[in-house]
Amino acid sequence: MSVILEHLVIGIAVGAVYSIVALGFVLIYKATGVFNLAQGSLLCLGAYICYFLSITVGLPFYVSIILTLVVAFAIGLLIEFVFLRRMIGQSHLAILMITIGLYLMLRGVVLIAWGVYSKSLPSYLSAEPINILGANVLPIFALSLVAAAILFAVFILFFRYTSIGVAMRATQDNQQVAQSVGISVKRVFGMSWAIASLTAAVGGIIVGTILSVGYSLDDFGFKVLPAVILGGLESVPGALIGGIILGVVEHFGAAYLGSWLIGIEDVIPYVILLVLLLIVPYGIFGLKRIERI
Amino acid sequence: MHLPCRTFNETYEQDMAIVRTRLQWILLAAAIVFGLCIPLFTGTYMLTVIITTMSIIIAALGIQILTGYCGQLSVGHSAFVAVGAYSSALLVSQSGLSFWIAVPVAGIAAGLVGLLVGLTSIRLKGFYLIISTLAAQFIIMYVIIHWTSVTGGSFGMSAPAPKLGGIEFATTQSYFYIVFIALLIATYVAKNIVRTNVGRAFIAIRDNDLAAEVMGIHLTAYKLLAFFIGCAFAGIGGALAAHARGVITPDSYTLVQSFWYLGYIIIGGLGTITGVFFGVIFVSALNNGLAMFLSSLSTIFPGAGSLLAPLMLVIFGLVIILFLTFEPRGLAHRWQIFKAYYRLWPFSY
Repeated sequence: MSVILEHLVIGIAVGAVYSIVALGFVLIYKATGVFNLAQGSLLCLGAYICYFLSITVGLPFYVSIILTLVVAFAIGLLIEFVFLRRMIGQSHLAILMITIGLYLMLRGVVLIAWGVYSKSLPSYLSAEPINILGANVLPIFALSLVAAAILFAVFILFFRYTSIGVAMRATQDNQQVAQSVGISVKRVFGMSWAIASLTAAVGGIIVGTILSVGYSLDDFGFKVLPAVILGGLESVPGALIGGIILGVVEHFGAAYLGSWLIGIEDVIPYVILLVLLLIVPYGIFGLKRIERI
Repeated sequence: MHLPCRTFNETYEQDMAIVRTRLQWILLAAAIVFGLCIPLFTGTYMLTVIITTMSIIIAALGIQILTGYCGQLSVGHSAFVAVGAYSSALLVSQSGLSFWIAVPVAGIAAGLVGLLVGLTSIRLKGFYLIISTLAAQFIIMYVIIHWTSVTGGSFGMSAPAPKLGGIEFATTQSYFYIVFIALLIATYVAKNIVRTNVGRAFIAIRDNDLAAEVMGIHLTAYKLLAFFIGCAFAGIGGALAAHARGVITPDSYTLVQSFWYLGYIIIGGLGTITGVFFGVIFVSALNNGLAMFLSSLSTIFPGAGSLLAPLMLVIFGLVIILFLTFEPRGLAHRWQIFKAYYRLWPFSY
């Protein structure tokens, strides 16, 4: 029993990381209707910026985290302004292919700037496991749980109560109507990319601490897709629940199947993804668009 | 389809002809003769590049039929290429089957795997389908990497050179002819598939699936057929490339490679067979031009050569974005504009 509980706690903690990354997808989709396949690249870039500021420049770690978030915010604005501004009103699939182009570009930029060898962030937490509900968990996972809780609380409130949050929801629903009631669609797009880039950087710092900072971190964006689909593309709470379910299932899969099928945890998310897409493509909380073709 | 002055289509055969005028026949013959002469005046390295490019074109014809004509976006194309490469290599080196049987069988094998993945397209479309093909990419490559007893895992396996009678096509020069003829056949087949009722059904599905179904097109059957054909091309292209290189490893079939296949047809132009040629040749020329530039630069800045792969990623990503933004119809459309200009010159219309 206690073994299962321990796996469950670790799975939830890993799932919290997933849900932070999944949040980035949901934020951009919710506001702009774009599915951003370069989300993983933003995460990777965020991790590298944190590495650059804290190790190469040598700033104190907490200062560099704040600076990373600021830079990530600016990068999000910049990417939207340079690459996506012209595509407003184009088909969503064309914009999706633009994000594929972005993915390739950002991977190239990261490889040019930092090379193929992975780096490690400074150790700002003790390596001593702490005890949560009888399970020994590394402090970073506890931190990610806290970070996920804060981010999700902030964004659920953001979309419900702030005017820019409501404007984002309106834009996703219908860009023309949103514009006609005086919402600046361009600014909404810029803001949503900036915020998504910021959450990706938070995810990047956490994932970079758990694993290490390498160029292949951008695959993390794809690994999180099942969480996004499971929760529903438009749903912020869905991202949280989807992420945690994914984390738990993956961890149990690795614990009980990993001895026969080596590396199964890398492919479990995609198997879940395929099954989900065939059964409930709109997810738990997503809008059900019933379309029989 | 604009014809030159004083040329009129008077019969159905003339209307349907791919090669219509005498000039086109001459140009086609010249191109084939030129192609057959390529090994006589190029070095082995250049020839290897050309062979790789040609096998990529064959695989890209597949994604063009699947994505460009039938509108089923796939970002798992390199996994199907891998299935073709591995099945052909396995058949030749393990079962001792002849290369000439193994390559078509590899195409069918890749097509069948594609059919399996294509089953998701019955319920999904648009970017949900993209995500399911992305999942297929990771799952297929997981199987290939971890089924070490068969595929050799990440160390890869060997793909021996083909034999015909007593002749072994071991040299690059002799292998060139196999791939060249395969490319001619593949182009002919692809061009004709998209002109038949099957191809028109694909286009109807791409443009409006609901309207296509109302017109009596069996969506499920045609989507699955598109997956089968597209992936069979991928498998044949992959098998040919595998035997050219002699050894295959899973690193050559990553997700990034799949994105490249999608990029080829975006750059070349979605929904045209000529576009595939333009796209792949454009990117290949860009890649090799950059490689040459960097290697000449590395005499001044040592280590510039290692920048090739990442720099190419940046440029390729940028080129995809630029084409989508400024010329979504790709190079094939530019070529049409050029031809119209050439036909009418010196008049403006």
